Amino acid sequence: MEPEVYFIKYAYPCAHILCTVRGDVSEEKFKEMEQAAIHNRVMDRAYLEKVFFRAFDRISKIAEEMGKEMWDVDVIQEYFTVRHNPVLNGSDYPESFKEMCRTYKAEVVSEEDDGEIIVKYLSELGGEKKRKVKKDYMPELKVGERVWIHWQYAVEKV
Amino acid sequence: MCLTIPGKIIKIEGDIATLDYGSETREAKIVEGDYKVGDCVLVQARIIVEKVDEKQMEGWLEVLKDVQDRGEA
Repeated sequence: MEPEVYFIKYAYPCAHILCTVRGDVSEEKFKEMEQAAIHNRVMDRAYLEKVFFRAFDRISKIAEEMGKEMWDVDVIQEYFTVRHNPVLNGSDYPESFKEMCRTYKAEVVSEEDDGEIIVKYLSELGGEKKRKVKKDYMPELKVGERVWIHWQYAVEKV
Repeated sequence: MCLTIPGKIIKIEGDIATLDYGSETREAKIVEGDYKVGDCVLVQARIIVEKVDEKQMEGWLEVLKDVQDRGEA
């Protein structure tokens, strides 16, 4: 998968917030991001680096540590699945917001009538939790499969 | 972190504002600018940096509610 596509699959839910609150992302660009995330379209690197500048500050440091380029799936994966939660935990975001923002390994437990799925995961808040997420990125997902979740999306298979 | 999220000022004492984030409150410092109770603001490093308009705030609360309804409390 192209690194731009991989990145936007994780970052798209955050763009929703950037779009809603600050207008940093226009409606049009927001739709473009959704299409990019769902249909694996490559977006402009410079634009993504500008909008998600804080994430790329960290990604560039991880790239240096790993001796790789910033636009590399392994580097971006290291950010979202390993480094992201500890940074988040150290922030002063409200707790309920942090929980949605954390990435988790989850298991698909059931399919809903509206085409979305229920997943279960071990929360950092303690204990097993469930969440209803969209499977737009992976329409073929089946009960029992393991996926990474971020906000209201199943992002990729574990 | 990656985003700056907005809160609503529910109390101001001296230069310290108490902000409501829907599920909990946080305090932030007013360094410059005129803010009053009811204003929706963005905070960075515990300092109020800018005001956001009501409409943007409403949009944000809708998103937040939709997302949080997806998980178990």
